[in-house]
Amino acid sequence: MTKGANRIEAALAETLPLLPEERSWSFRDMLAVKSGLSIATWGFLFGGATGQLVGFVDGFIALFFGTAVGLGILFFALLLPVYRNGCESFVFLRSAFGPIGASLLAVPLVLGMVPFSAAILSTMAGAATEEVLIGLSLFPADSGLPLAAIMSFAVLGVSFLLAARGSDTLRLFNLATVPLLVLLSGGLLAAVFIEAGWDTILAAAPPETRWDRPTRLMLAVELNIVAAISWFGLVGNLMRYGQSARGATWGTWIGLVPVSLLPATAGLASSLALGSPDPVQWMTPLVGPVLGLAMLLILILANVSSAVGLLQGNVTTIIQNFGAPIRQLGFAGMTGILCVIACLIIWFATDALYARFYSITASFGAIFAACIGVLLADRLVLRRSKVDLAGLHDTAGGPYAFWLGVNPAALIALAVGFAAYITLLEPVSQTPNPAFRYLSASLPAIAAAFAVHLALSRVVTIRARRGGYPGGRQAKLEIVDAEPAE
Amino acid sequence: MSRPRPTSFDEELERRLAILARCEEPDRRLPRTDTIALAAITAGCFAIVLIAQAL
Repeated sequence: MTKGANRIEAALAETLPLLPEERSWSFRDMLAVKSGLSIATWGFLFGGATGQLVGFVDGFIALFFGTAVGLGILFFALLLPVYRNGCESFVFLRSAFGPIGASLLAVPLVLGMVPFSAAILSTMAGAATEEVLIGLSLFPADSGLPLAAIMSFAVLGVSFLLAARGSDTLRLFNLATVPLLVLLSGGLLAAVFIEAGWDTILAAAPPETRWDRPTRLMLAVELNIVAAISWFGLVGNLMRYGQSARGATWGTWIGLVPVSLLPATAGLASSLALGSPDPVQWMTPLVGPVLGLAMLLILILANVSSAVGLLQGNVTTIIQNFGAPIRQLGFAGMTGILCVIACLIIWFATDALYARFYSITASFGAIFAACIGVLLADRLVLRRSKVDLAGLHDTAGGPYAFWLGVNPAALIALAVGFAAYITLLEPVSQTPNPAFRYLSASLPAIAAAFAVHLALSRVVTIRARRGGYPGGRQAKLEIVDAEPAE
Repeated sequence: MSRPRPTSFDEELERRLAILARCEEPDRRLPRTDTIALAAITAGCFAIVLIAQAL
């Protein structure tokens, strides 16, 4: 933020509740931005990880239905209320966890995830750029330079420049690039099928595991539920820009479910038939040098568009939840710091990123699932969808202060949900409990957190007249200023 | 944005909350039919997974 007589920058101001004139994205804009997010490295990687568990048909079922289940639940817990109120996602979380509780959650879920995700995206884009430069004979293959890492930094640099410019740049960039990205994903999918053959892909089996088919299918579904709920606050923050609830909702759903199937199915098929989900490794040999290089260029764009959305959506959370010192850095400053951390991860831990991609994602998924259970209970049952927007932004003792800014009931419910998840599926070793086969891990984790939060809130929090819930004396006073019931 | 923006983050928050409290915001709720469709798709997708497991 600039000091003195200058106005605060637009991007920084948009981290606050959006004004009606700022909520201008049409269905097409929303679809473009969300498609731009989903068509990228992680689409191929999740498809490939699915192909390590099940064959093509089961993999397709897991990719589509798992993602739809995860995203659908996320809509009811977080995305719809965030859209309705126009506030930042973790600011909305204050109504359940308290302002300090929400900020504590943002530490692992945003500060921990974003540099990791940005590093994954730019690493793959860097590898693709290296392939392009070598393919165009601009660099020899044995130059000895860490070309891929340098190119990853360049990709992060471009993403930073675009992300720091604010929401309108993100929208225009995606409107321009998404048609190309859809062509790329569709082209890659077609190329894999033409090269390997439909019969070969259908007959290809995943690596042997000790689990039976139903358990493997549920493991694949679980992976994709977790992938969808991991969008969490980022998607909510971007959805706020939608002009209408219908356009914002279905633009988001179509962009993150059917459109995400394009790269994920290509990753699934190539993992099964070609042995690798990473298109950088097989794209040029498969489609020839000219088309391969053109596709690699589009793949770089795909990862840049995702990285820009990732930074845009998450810097909003960081600005809103980590106090005045962070705001002093400004939107661009904070975006830059995240990019520098991602650069350090690329330099020191690129191989570990790929090797532990699934474990890291699944571990975070356990926290996300429990968090969703708390939010569902708090929003749908305890508050009946009514929150006080001014109260959400009052971090110095407003209605959602609970006890010293933390709601112990929500945190206990979160811990119980997390424990339920790892009881059913130990995420690092991927060891499922017998009940996992029928229940998955995230759905019972959501249910456990839901039940515990509901019970503790009714028995303790509401009786102590904390948290501004309807029913307490304090709550009755606050509801006067809340949104009118419709 | 057409309106002048203040210089401090907290002032900007106050200004926005005041505008939002005053203005006639369009209904930001998802229409009931869409809500039901979204819930049905979500539940139906998990049911399809269970059916696929049994096949």
